[in-house]
Amino acid sequence: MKLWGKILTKIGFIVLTLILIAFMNGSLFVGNYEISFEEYLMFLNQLLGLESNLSLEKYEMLQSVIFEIRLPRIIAAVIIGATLSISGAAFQAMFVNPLVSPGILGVLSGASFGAALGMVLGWNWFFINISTFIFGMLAVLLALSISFIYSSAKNMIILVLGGIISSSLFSALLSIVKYTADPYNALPAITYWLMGSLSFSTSTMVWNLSIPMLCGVLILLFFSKYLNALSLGDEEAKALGVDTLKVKIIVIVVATFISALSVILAGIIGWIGLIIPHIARLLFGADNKIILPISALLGAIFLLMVDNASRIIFSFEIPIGIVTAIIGIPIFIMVLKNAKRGF
Amino acid sequence: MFKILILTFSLYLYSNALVFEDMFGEQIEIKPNIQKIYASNPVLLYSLYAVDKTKIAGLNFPFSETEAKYLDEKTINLPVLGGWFGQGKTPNNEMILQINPDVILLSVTTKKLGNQKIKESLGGAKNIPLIYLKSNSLEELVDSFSYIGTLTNQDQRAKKLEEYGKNTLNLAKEISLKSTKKPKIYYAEGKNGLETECDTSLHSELINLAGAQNVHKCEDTNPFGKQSINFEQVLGYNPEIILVYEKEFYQTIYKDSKWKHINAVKNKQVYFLPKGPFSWFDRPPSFMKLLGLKWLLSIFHPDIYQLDINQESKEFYNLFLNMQLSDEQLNEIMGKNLD
Amino acid sequence: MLLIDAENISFSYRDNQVLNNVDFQLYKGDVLSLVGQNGCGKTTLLKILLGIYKSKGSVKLLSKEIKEYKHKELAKLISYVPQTHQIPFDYTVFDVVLMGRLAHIGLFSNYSLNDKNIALQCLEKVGISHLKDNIYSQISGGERQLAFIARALTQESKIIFMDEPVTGLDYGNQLKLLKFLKDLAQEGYTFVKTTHYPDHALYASNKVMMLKNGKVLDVGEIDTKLTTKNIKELYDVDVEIISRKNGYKYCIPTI
Repeated sequence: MKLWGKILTKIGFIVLTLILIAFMNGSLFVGNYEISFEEYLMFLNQLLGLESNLSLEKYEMLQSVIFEIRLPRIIAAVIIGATLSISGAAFQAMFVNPLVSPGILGVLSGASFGAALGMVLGWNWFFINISTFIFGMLAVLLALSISFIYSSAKNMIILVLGGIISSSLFSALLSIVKYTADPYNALPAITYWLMGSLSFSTSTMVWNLSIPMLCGVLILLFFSKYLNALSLGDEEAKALGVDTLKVKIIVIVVATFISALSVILAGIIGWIGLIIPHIARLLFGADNKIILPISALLGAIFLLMVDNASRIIFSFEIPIGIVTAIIGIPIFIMVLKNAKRGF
Repeated sequence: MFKILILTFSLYLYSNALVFEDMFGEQIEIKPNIQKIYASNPVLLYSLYAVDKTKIAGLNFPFSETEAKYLDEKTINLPVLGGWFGQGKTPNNEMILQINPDVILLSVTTKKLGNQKIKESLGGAKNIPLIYLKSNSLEELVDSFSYIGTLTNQDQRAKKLEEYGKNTLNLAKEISLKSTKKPKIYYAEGKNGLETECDTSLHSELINLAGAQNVHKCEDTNPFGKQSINFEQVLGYNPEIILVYEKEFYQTIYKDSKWKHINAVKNKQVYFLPKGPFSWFDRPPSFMKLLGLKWLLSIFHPDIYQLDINQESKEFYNLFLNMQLSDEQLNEIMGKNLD
Repeated sequence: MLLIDAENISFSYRDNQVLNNVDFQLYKGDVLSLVGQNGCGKTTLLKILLGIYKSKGSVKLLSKEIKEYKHKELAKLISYVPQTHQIPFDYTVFDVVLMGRLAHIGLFSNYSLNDKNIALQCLEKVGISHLKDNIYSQISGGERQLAFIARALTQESKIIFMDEPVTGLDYGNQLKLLKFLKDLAQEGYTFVKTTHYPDHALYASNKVMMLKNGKVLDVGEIDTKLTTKNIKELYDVDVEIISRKNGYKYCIPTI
């Protein structure tokens, strides 16, 4: 049985990229604050330096709404969707296991704990973010250390076990923090934050963090060819010239790094890292050189779509983690039904 | 002869028990000289503190530093007994048994859990008389004073507090009727100011009581409240006055480039909700809302009602908390040091 | 030209002495057959030479210790054809063969047109061009083996290590593969292959190394070293080695 031809794949890439761009533009237009199409056009005109009928006040207001509220949020959705999806795809390839997600090594548990700790201790947002990041990385470091101690062969199953241990530890610590938290303020704040939302981050945070996240995504893209070799087995990969230890460490560190950053921006958003790579694989085959970028594109589109939907439908902010699960699961089942190929 | 002895003995026992009628009309037997009362929920605890702090058996959770500053030292160091509050918390029944209070006060929300569950949670302490008090809305809170007064043998004091409460509530009704318009208020919670309460929620009842309208119109989806909204909604609401709960947000709102488009920010009508020991507005709800109500009346209807908040606060803190409030303390409570 | 010089290789794995005191040399153009019973250390030796395991003793490739080579450098010189196995992903045959170029591309680059052409040529050379878009795990065992060989050729390394290359091939394909190896050797490739079949060794190789219990029983020119006596030592069976007029030798069991 032959796969889709290379041409179809290339077309797929282009189509997805176009969809993403279209969505991003459309999303600028969508939101609670009513902007008529006319106003939008006049705004664009004035932006480009042409004349328009907008009052200065109205123009500044539109500027605020579009550049300070909507655009950062769109960028956040796109970059987080891409980040979590590509990290999930990379881990699934590296661990040769379809049930793996970016949180497998503990970064999400660690980051949750770090954020909750900061909230309970009453720190301001800057230090809470630092705590989130540091504990996210520490959790993975712990997982790696556990696996190094117990296996000189550095095999993948031990790594997964190390991740499970680390996740459990930080979950327990999180529970302790929740227990001691002030029930009127800190505890509900923590609970809500853990459900994930794109409304948490300020535009400054988005601009600052999206650059390193984008770099991380690019690095993972460059490493995708090595992931193919890794999936054949350590020994064969080495014989092909791949420095397997280096590749594994870099992929783990980079994926962890960008996942931790995504937690800072938007709390815990689950499901995307697990489902999107599957959808990519079911549509485009298993070559990681293709799957990783496709996952990033699909993830970006998906999260943007989900966020737009929840902004429009509800008058209050709904935790996006819930929405990704509710929408993602049926989509996954649909794609699974139509799949003719294996994992 | 034997019968007479028994009769006398029973009469003796009977006269040593009192019958107390709670806010639901239920008759409960209690002993005459109550020394220790366990309030199983913070609102009741704070009201008990106001009426007679010496009768408090224990706390629901430790007071924070900022709260402790304005409270009696002995009370702060009382043992923590837990309680029914927050999201699913339950009391520590072993501690309660140890302390052995004379009565337990419970709220109407707890009553909904059902008798069996409550007895289960109380464990060995389940034989202590249970008194249910309604204290969810401000009006109910004011009504609860007299009951607490009877239990603590402080009827006179309770009456004073109740009077202050009733006068304040009546004042609010009067002013609301007099005023020609209801100003649009946005209640900003959370560090980014984008969490708020529905207008129908008890959490923001002071806005309605003070003759204004809460711009966020909806029905609460859960008793905890605190809905997250996005900024565009606030832009759409364009409130005239903003009440801010978090210090962090209050310090940044005037500098924020998005909020400057809102009328309240343009006209410098952003107010920090005073807090100390407890919030004058909500979270936690307490008798301090009475002071908060008066204060809001003066802000919402400055043409009809003027208030010397300095003097009023000092009187209030003296009456309810038995403390002499200094100007410095008042400034800190009102967040004047943040400007 | 001396390519590999191995001295005193020892290797143990979990208290098991797998290899002991192994010495040998590999010259350009050699086709060295590694023979011995199961578990005698053949595959382990291959992996040591590939830089996958680290052993005691000295193994030099072109006068430099194998331990000191980076994986990528080593891959340009030696390639590996493992025993055919299933791949858990649905890669195409072309995908798999193209992976042979990994040793030649940088971190920031992708496979170039040149890389792809080389892969295509190697597929052609091995005779499975028509299978290039098929899913690797769905072709036959023999075809999979050929794909791995195509990959080794794509790697453009002049030394190729093979682990039991005829496994899973039918009789005809076995002989065809061995002929192919002989031809490649003529072109300048050097082979080290493990094998269970002395006949194959006699047909295709010029050198043989016999391992028994991790020690070298004998090593050298196949004509002189693959004797009835050695085979008896290795496998505990009696054979007679017959020569034919065209110079080919083979074993006849006399057991």
